[in-house]
Amino acid sequence: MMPVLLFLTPTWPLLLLALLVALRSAGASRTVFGWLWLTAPLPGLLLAALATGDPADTSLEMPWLLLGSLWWVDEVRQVFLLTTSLLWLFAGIYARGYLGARADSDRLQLARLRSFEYLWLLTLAGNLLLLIAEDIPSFYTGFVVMSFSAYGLVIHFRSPEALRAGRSYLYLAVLGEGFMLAGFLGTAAQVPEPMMSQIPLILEPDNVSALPLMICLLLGFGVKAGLPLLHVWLPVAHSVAPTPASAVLSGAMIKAGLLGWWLTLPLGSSNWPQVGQVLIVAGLVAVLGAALLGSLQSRAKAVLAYSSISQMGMMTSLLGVGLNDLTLWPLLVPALLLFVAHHGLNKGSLFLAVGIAEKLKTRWAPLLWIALLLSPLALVGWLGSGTLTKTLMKSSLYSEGWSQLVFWLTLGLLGTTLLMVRYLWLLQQMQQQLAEKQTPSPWMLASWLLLLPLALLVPWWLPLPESTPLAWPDQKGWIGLAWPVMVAFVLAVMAWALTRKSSRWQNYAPPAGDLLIVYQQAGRSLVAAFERGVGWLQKFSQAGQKLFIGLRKLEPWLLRISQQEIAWRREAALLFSFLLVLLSGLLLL
Amino acid sequence: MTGWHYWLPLLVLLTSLVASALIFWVDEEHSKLRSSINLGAAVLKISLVVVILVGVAAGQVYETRFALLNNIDFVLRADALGVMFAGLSSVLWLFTTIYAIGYLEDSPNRRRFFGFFGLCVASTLGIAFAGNLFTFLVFYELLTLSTYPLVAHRGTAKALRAGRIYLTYTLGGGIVLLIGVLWLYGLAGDVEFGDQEKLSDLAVTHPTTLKWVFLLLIAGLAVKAAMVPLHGWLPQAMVAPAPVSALLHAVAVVKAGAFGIVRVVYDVYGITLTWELGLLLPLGVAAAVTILYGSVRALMQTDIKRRLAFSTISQVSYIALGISLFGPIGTMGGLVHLLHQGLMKVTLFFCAGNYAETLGIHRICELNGVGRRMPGTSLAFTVGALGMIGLPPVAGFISKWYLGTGAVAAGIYWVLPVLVVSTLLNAAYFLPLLHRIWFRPQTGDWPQERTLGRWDTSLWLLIPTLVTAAFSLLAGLLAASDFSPLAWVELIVSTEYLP
Repeated sequence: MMPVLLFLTPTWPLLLLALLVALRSAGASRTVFGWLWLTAPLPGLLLAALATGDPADTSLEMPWLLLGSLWWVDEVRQVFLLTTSLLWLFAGIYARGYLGARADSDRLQLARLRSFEYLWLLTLAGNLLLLIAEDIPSFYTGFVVMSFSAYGLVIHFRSPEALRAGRSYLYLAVLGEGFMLAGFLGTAAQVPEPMMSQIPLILEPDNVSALPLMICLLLGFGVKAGLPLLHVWLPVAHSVAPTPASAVLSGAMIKAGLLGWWLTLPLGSSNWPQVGQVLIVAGLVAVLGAALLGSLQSRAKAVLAYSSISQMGMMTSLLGVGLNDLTLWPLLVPALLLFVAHHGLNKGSLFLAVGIAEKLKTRWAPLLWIALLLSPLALVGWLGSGTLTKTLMKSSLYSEGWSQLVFWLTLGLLGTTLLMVRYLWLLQQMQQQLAEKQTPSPWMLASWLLLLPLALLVPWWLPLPESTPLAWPDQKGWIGLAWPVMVAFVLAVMAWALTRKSSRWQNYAPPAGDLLIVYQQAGRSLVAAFERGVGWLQKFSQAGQKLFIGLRKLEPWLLRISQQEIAWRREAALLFSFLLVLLSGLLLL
Repeated sequence: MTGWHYWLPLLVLLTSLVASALIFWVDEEHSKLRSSINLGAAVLKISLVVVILVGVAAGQVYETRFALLNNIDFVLRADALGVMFAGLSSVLWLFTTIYAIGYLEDSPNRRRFFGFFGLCVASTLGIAFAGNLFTFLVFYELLTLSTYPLVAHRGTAKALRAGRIYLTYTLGGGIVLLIGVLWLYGLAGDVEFGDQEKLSDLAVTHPTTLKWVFLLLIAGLAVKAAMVPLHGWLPQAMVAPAPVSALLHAVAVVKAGAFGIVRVVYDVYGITLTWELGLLLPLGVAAAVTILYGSVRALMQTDIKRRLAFSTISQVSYIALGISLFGPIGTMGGLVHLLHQGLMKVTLFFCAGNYAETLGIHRICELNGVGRRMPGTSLAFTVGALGMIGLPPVAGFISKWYLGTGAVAAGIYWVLPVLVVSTLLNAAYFLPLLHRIWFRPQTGDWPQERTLGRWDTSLWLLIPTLVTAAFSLLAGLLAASDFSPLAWVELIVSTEYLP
């Protein structure tokens, strides 16, 4: 049973893809986002639900595939798989309402929807494959398939803005792929079998190549995980992609980067204090910087993207702590796992809510507004999964004397609150601009309303390690959760009061993607320099050609030689008799 | 001594040779007969190669040998390495022939074309099975001569010019190679492949001379392998008809050069000796320079076939790079790329030909929206392009994997950045094409549209394209299985080339 499920997890979406293409070229299926299409993440979900967390029970070996494949589900992968396939399932249902509603349009539109459908399946297959892959080639395959197929999802609307965003997404994805490749090749050469779990073992301080390879892996996965400086694609891509695609990009695919780090970095196997500290600082920069930049955005989805960068920053810092001191890592694992699931599902539901609010103008809108408030409250730690996650995280850090980091993360909570306030504000603005009465499609509503409770109740159903000390905060803990949110609230109100009169400040706000402009400028100068170099090269090759033509001058000379040769040949008899005489003369001597 | 096994290598060679002789003899109008001879010979040849393949895997040796001159034998020997090249050449001969039949339908001079096509394949087979430097040289030169009429086939001024440039380069290279071979003959007598003791002894007394000879041999071979700065003929030769370009880039000319380098390093000098003489590093550096230079130039092309040509320059040097990595893993990477690059490149050229024949598309900017008009071809193109970038699960990834891990295992770290930069450059010049094909809407009419059947294009053109694309995919996806190119290369390395 388990091997079959493992096999079907990534291949079922692919089989569906083949089936849909075949049906359509035979003219048999006219529906878009049909029932069949919706089942794509189900084998993965079933696998995650049935897995025991022990790779011995849940593994599939295929020695003929790629360079010898091994797929399995361990404790860590189970959490990722469960969250990811759930999110894909609900985002798929949502997509049926979100994009399917527009399917009545012309042929070109229909073709585009179909291509969205196909790329959705491909991206999903890649995402699920990397979650269960234990051998490096399978993991890399999954990552590549996911990254490149998602490009099509990002540029789905084909607006100039979407194409620009797609380009930045692709540039960074390719760059990340390059770093990842270097990291994988370099480490794989040193392990007996190309397995993910063997990479951390060779990344130990005694190994001279460990540090450069680790940097490659950090940067390679960092593109997906939104590491500062590599994060620029997130805000632009998330704001232009169709909402269900943004949800999986931010909730599921971003976690692929984290999983990459998790599986390859020597967490709990060796100490890397410097790298750990750099990672902690980078994470905190993301936490605070993204909060600041995000609260200045004027699009809800861009705000959410910055919030993702900020939340991923917290996880990055925790990884840094684990890298800094290997004994701490086992304590951090449950907190991080809970964080992954909590953030993945809540961020997904926040994204889905954007599409709901875009179309919400009915009598019972106030009721839905209460629901809209739930996920933000969870994210700032005031509700359900959020409270338990934050408490678990803090208690793990406190117990090991990392109180300073806790302080910074608390500041991050302040930032998160600002982001959530901004997000809700923008949703409310969006809704006010709606002229006519309308309701979101039932598919969208159903998907969102089903995902919401699941996201809020994560700690109650997630298969966490047994020793996880889940607990509600004590009085001090509640205060710790309360004050940053209050302060942020006061700040938000002050900001609102200051900017109420005019929205001129928005002209000065950094655009989504902040540093992207700097990169583009640098890219342009680089291209110009390259072109200058090419011009120089061409001049060089022209000179070479001239030299070659110059050689032609030898031609008459060669001709003359051959004519002389003809003359010689005519007198061959004479020549030979002369030679004969000469030779015999020599012999006589 | 005269048995079935004795004649087998010669027999394989003769299938193409006899077929081409018959084709020259058949009248121009009898296209059905010609195609039947062609396809029959190709299928027969594949079967014979499969027989040899099975035999060699079981440890059997096939050798045809007779004395030509004093001390010089004409030797055809099927060893594991030769069989690999022969297999590639015979499989691709079948598919390029099918393709060429569809491609050249109703065009003039088909007799000449298919005749020389067969000769060209016979020469590659001779190169594959050549058992000593002399035999190798004969077929190497024969290849040059039999390819010229194919390059200049169209007979236009441009084609004739390309043919002339091609001939200048390759004959020049041939002369340099000849000098190298003669020099070596003068030193050591007839050099059989795999008999490295002779040179090892010589290396003690004449190390410098051997280095010079090596330089001459490699320089002569590098012309065909299109290594910078001897690559100038390859982009020019793009005027040839698509099946010729496909054959040229995938197996015939370019690969013959690369294969020759493999032979010289492993079977003439021996990998250990080459390493001791310090010749591997320069070879590796030359390959790395070619890889990067070819990619950069490819980036600047606006014509599809020219971009593919520069990509070949870059990709073929992966083979030389793999050889220069002193160790079994890198060797596997280089050798397996000989097959992988062949499959992927032939696919890409088939696709370029399909676009040109069906819609008149030659330039990259004309590709917008072609994915909807020609989905099958575009899918094949996508597989080929992703493979060239080295993305899994296409075959190119396997090559890159072995090259990269081989380099690190041998402690040659600088190769890793070269591979990564090459990957990025490959992505930079292939991904925009894929974007145009799949994501841009069609702009205006196609330059020159023809309707060829109810599929993308005529099935003669489509089926070979899809089959080679499927092979490229499967060679990567099932690399660890017993029937992959990788498995065969593993056999070669484990039995003969373990340094």
